[in-house]
Parts: sequence; structure tokens; C-alpha cells
Amino acid sequence: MTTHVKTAHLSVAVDLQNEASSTKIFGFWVYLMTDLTIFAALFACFLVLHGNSFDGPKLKELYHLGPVLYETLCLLTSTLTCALGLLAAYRAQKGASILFFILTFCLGAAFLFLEISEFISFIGQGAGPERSAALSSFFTLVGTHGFHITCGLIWMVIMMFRIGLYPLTHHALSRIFCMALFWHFLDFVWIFIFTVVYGIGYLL
Amino acid sequence: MKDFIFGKLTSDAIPHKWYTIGGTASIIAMLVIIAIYLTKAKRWTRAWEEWLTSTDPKKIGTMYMILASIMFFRGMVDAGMVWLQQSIAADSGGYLDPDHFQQIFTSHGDIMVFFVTMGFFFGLMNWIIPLQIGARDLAFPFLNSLGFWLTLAGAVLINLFFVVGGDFANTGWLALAPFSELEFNPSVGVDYLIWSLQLSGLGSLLAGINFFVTIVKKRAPGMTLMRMSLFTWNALCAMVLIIAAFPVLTAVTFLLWLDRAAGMHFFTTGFGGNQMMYWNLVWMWGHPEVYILVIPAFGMFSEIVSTFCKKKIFSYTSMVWAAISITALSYLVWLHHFFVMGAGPGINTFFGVVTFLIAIPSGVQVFNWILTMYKAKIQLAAPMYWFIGFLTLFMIGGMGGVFMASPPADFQVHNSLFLVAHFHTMIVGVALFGIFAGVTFWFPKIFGFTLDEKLDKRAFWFWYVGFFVAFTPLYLLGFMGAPRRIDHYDAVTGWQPLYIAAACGFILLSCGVITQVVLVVKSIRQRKLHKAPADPWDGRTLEWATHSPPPFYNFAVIPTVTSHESFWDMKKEGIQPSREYKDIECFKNTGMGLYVSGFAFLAAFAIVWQIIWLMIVGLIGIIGCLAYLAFHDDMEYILPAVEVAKIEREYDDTR
Amino acid sequence: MNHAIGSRITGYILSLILTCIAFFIIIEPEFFGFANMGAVIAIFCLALLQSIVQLIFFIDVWHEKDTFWNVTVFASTVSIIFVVIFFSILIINHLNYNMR
Repeated sequence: MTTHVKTAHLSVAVDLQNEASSTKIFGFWVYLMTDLTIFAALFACFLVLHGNSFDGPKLKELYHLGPVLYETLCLLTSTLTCALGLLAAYRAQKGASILFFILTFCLGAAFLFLEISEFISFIGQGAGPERSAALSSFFTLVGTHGFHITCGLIWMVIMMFRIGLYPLTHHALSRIFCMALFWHFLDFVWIFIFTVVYGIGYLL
Repeated sequence: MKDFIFGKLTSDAIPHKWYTIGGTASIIAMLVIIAIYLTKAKRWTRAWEEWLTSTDPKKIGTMYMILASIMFFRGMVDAGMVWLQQSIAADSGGYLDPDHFQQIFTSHGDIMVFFVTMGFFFGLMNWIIPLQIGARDLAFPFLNSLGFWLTLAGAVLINLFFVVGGDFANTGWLALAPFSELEFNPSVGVDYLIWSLQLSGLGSLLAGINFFVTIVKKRAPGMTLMRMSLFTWNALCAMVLIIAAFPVLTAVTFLLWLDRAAGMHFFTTGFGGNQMMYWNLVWMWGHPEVYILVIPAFGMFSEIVSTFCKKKIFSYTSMVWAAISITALSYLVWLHHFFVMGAGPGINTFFGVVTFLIAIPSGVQVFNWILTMYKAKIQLAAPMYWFIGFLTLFMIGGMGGVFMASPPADFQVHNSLFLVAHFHTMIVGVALFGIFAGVTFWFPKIFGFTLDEKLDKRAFWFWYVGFFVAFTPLYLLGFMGAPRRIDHYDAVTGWQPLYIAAACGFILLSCGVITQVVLVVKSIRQRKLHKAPADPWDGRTLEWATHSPPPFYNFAVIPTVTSHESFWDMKKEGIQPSREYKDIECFKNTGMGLYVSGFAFLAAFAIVWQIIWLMIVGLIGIIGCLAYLAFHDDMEYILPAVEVAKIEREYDDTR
Repeated sequence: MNHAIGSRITGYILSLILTCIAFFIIIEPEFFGFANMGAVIAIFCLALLQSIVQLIFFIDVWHEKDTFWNVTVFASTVSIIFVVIFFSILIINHLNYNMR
């Protein structure tokens, strides 16, 4: 059963005609809250441990803020393209949707590339995660976010195939919605990462 | 090359100690017996099609109950070994070496908390919550199956050290740092603990999200929040705690694993690590966890009291607010588990005061139950026995808790046997008695026949008297200065007679367990003689409005609800259930939950032994399964109204 | 359709501005006359602002009538996050001070 949904206005409790979608989305929203709580614990560890450099290099000395700004801009732009891709899917514009998601994927991949380069450069300077508690907490918090980005990218590829090869049912749309929500949530967390990890780490 | 294929596995991992050989033999014996039974009864296909791939919460609930029961035996054996050691080890080493003794009490704690109590509660909730809210299924049936299988994978992993590896964690059930770090604990035992907890923790979290969304979104028409039954309300509060607390456990055990496997320094003794951060985060989970264990029991007892006193609960609104307050407050008290660690008077006072405050809503609930019983015609069925036992033990344990909420008092009894007696009073007296009462109460609904009342009451007396004999000595020993977790002590302390008395209590408790086994077996054998009607107890809530056992779709027609005791009102007004059958949307069975958990188990095992290729296989398997699900989400099918009518007619004919 | 796209583009531009201001403060706190601690508070406020912008413009939580539970769940999570982070810092600071 193919239903092409034409909604003018997108929202979280989307597709109110379809109770199944709104339940799925609500369930995913609750899951995202638990993911936020995991990040809260990791943030707490970073805030408590970021000064404990032991005899290793301080975080302040290691940071290069230029690449961090590029990462932030990549991720922020990818949030926009992801949202546009989702809107296109809801208007049954498969081609446009996939195009926007490819763009999102590239920006997300660029983000990962910059992040991994930063990790490699730290490790190359002898400032790997096993060097001190401060570095452990840095690598784990930023790395966990990067791991989530990777999962998001894999999910995005699967969804792109789904959009391309199969009709867009309510089921499919609600899943794409969840994926887009996940991607927005990752940018949401990144706002706090660059503020707390790089900002506070640099200033204090 | 050998490292690549086998990771850290060596021939040392093959069982060679007396208890690992014994444990392996027991596991193999159990599996062989099950295999023989399934082969002889030709039930392999049926086991696969009706049980292992089921998404029906009633079946999943039963599987949780079976898993929890098996783990309960393991936990009791652990307890018995501890009691035996402590009663003979005055001025002697006892029969267990210290490291083994530590592993035993560690596994006892983890198994009883994660697999027994949580397992039994998820079982009961799967059975009853959809029925009580007038729903056909949970919000996410596949996730329900996945949650169960992940919990089972965790249970297998926590027992796997018997077969592969030989060492479990010896750190206590929470694996506190820095003792659980690589520096002091290089063997894989702690890793087994961490990853078993991760698997079952993920299972519990998914189940928590599922039940939360179900209760919020899938209630019958007309059932506002304030018309839900009290068991559902308390279950909702417990699910909120699961959602709020389990992610913290996931995070902190993951960080501990990073310390151990990747050489990081979150909680190590050097390189800037902060051990107290582990204690802080793990208790931030740990305290809500113990409330997750007791809050559903409160709900169950509220239902049982009003049913057997034939009165509605004294003040429904105050019970709801008490449950909500306990939930909110329980997230703000965790530091009382480490008052002695030096946070200072200001912090200690704050957490002490909030801990005192929790006693208030708890008291509100106790008074509600007592006032419900006041001037009521009380029918002393077996669940009421468990209730009276619970009420007395809850008050004793609660008073012990309030005593320890005061930091100066806690400084005297922290980590003594007084503490051990307190939390066992709560877990046994509240959680376990709640489970036993709930099972007796709802067994006829789920299975269509009643449990033998006499045997159940006998089991109660063994448990109740046995509890006092086993744990009163521990309260006394605590005040005499006996610390917990000691494997031997000097005879001059005069502790031994009390330890021996406690061991006698354990024998009584074991008699209780044996009686319960006999109870279940005998009741199953005699099930044709004790068929239960749809409403054996003259119940008040919605689950009694459908057949016993319920059809897989629960209700042929979802009832409309007009009050918080809708079924009672329906009976009073003589309202018959509607017969206007419609098509029902049902969820297919799927083996995906099993497959994903199987791959997760492989990945976790590989992580423990650091076998990288196997870990990648596991992860690819999980991603593959999830990708498959993304493309094959046609999991629903329609049961036509004529089929529903046919099934309902069969029920009418057999009545 | 236009409203939805417009909302997201507005959100994007606002986030972009807030991000750039935050980075500028991190690199040159003296430009605004901030001492280090002041800069930290400033960027944290900017982060909160940007997160609200993203919530409103991208996640669109506020426009439907049936979002009571989504908002409640989110508000509870924010309180839990606050408890986790604030109390962890407070407790560890006290422990570090008393047990050094």
C-alpha cells in the first residue's frame, strides 16, 4: 500500500492520522533522551577530569581551533541538508531527497575525517588517550560522538537505498524521520561539545 | 598469529578447578535434559514457532519468569556457599579460598539484582501491563523480544566463566574502582561482569522504553492517567527510573572497560584518574536501581490489598503522588551509599535529609494499605499472607534505612552486616515477596489454572520465619561490628553462634524454595482439576475482564474505561463485554530478536577475550540484521473479525 | 512547504551566527573585555541559545497540539542531565578538597 504524503508542515507528532508513526517517533524520542543521559555522564567525567593532565601535555596546548570550526560548520550545514532531504521525502520527491542525503553524508564524512585527523595528530605527539585522565576523557567524549556520527552515516546509506528502491510508505517515512531526528540530535550534542570540550578546555 | 585468532584465550581457560568443572557439568546437564525433553515430546518446532520467535508479551513474560527462576537457583546456591563458609570459618580458613569466596558474593549480588529480580518483574509486567491498560500488545513488540534475548545473552555471559576462563569478578557486585582496575584485577572476570551488565542493561533499557511508551500511548479509550490501576502507575514510575538511570550504568561500566582494555585513566590510581568518580556515577545508577526493584512491588500489593479486602484503596490520589514522589526523590539520594568517603558535612547533610524525606511518601503508602484493611472483610488468600509478611518486613527494613540515612549513624554501620541485613530485608521482604504474591495472584489469569493455596501458604511460612532466623543475627552482628564480605574471623569475637543461626535460617529459606518448586510442579500436574475462571478472585481491574488464559490478542473488543476500577464498576452495573468484533491488527513472530542477541553475545564474548575478528563478525551481524529489518518491516498482519468470533466461540464452548 | 523550509533556513543562519560569535570569543576573549571565566559563561549562554534555536527551528517541538509527552520527557531529561553534571562536579570538588 503506497501512500504519498503531502504535508505542508512537518513536526514531531507528525502524521497525526497515523498513530503508528507517532508512537514510533515518540519511542525514538525517548531513546534519544537516554542517549543524552549517556552523554551527560561523559560530560560530567570530562568536566571533572579535564584538568588532570598528570605529567602529560595539557589539553589547551594540543587544541587547534581552526579544524574544530570547520567540523562545526560541516555538521551544522549537514543538519540543514538532512532536514531538506526529509522534507523532500515527505513530498515524495525521491530524487531530491536522495541528493540532499548524499550531501549530508559527504559533510558528515568530512566531519569524521577532520576529527580522526585530529585524533591521529594527538596520538602522534604522544598525547593518546592512555597518557592521562584528561586525554582519556577528551578522546572518549569526542570519540563517542564520532561513533554516533558513524552509526548515523551507516543508517543514512541504508535509508537512501530504502528511498530509492521501495515505495515511500508511512512506515518508511517515520523511519527516515527518526534518522533525521538522530542527525539533528548529534548536532545538538556537538554544540555542547565544542563549547565545553574545546571552549572550556581552551579558556580554563 | 595465535594472538589474533584467540585473543587472550589460552589453555588455562579450560575448566580445571572443582567449581568450574562442577558448574560446567551442571550447565551441560541442564541443556541435555532440555534437549532430551524437546526431542521426546517432539516439540522443537513448536518451541521455535511458539516461544523462541514469539512477540506475544504473555509468552515473553513466561520466558522471563523461567530465566529468572533458573538464575534464582544459581543465586541461592551462591548464598548457601557464603553462609556455610561464614558459619565454619571462626579461627579457620573455611572451605573456600578467599578469592573464590569474593567471586561468589559478587556473582550472588549481580545475578539476584540483574537477572532474578529484574527478570521476574519484567516477566510480570509483560504478563499483566497490556491486560491492565486494555492494550493488545506493547508499543514495540520486536523490541520486547529483543530485550528478553539480550537479557538472556547477559545471563549466559555471566555464567560463561565456568566453561571458559575460570575466574569471575571478585570485586563485589558493583566492581568498584580502583580494585576493579587492571592493576589489581588483571583476569577477565571483571570484563565478564562488565559485558554481561552491558547486554542485560541494554535489554532492560529497551524494555523500559517500551513499557513507558506503551503505558503513555496505548491505553484503552477513556483511561486517563488517573484511571490507571496502581500497578500500572507504579510500573510507569519504575520505567521512568530505568530510562533515567540505566544510561549512566552503560556509560560508567564502559569507561571502566576502557580503562582496562585501552589503558585509559578514568578511575585508575595514577595518571590523574579519579576513583571516586566511579563510585559517584555507579551509585547514581545504583540507587534508582534498588527503587526500580521495589516500586512495582508497591503497586502489586496495592491491587492485592484492595481485591482481598473488597474495598478500593483508601486514597488513590495520594498513592499516585506517593509513587511519583518516591521516583523523583530516589534520583537525589545516591551519595548515602558513600557517606564515609569524605565529601564533607555539607554534602552529607543534603543527601541525608533527602533520604529522610523518602520515608514520607513510603509512610503514606503504608498508611493507605492499613486504612484499606481497616473494617474490611479480609479474605486471607495466599497473596494476603505475602502482603502481611511484606508489610512487616518493609517497616523493619524501612526503619533500618531511615537510621542509616543519618550520616553519623551510617558511619558506625557502613559496610557492616547491618547494612546487608537492611538491603536484604528490602529486596527479599519487598521485591521478592511482591513477586511471589504477584505470581500467585495473576498465575490463574495467564495460565488458566490456580496454584495450590495450601502449598503456597506453607512456602510463605518457610520464607517468613526463615527470613527472621536468617537475618536477625545479621542485624545483631552488624551492631557488634562485623563487617560484610569477610571470609573468616576470630572466634574470640563471639560471632560464630550468630553466623550458625543465620545458616539455619538459610536452610528454612531453602525449604521455602523447594516448597515453591513442588507447588509449581504439583499445580501443573493437577491443572485440569483446578481450572480458573476469568475472574477467580473477584477482581477490580481490567485484566480480569478477559478469559483465563487470555487469547493472544488479549481483548476481543477493547473496553471503554470510565473509572479507575472499571471492571469492578462493569460488574456492579451488569455490563457485558461487547460482541461487535472487528478486524484486529496483530504482530508477526520473528526470530530477529534472537539473531541480534546472538550476534551481540558473540561480540561481547569477543570483547572480553579481545578477539578482534570475532568482534567484527558480531558487529557486522548486528548491523546486517538491523539493515534487514529496515527493508522488511511488514511485521503486521490482520486477523479478520470472523476469526476473532471463532476463537471467542471456542472460549464460550469450553466454559 | 515554504514555511517548513524557511524555518530551517532561519534556524541555520541563526546557528551559524551564534557559532561564529562563540568561536570568536574562545579565540579572542579580550575583544569583548572578558576574563577567562566570563568568556566561559558567555560561550555557555551562546550554546544554550543555539540549542534552543535548533530545538525550535529544526526539531519543531512546539507547533503540534499533541506534544505534551515529548516536552515532558525532554524537560525531565534536562533536569536529570543537570543533576548528573552539577552534582558530580560538586561532589568531586568536595572530595578532592577534603581528601587531598
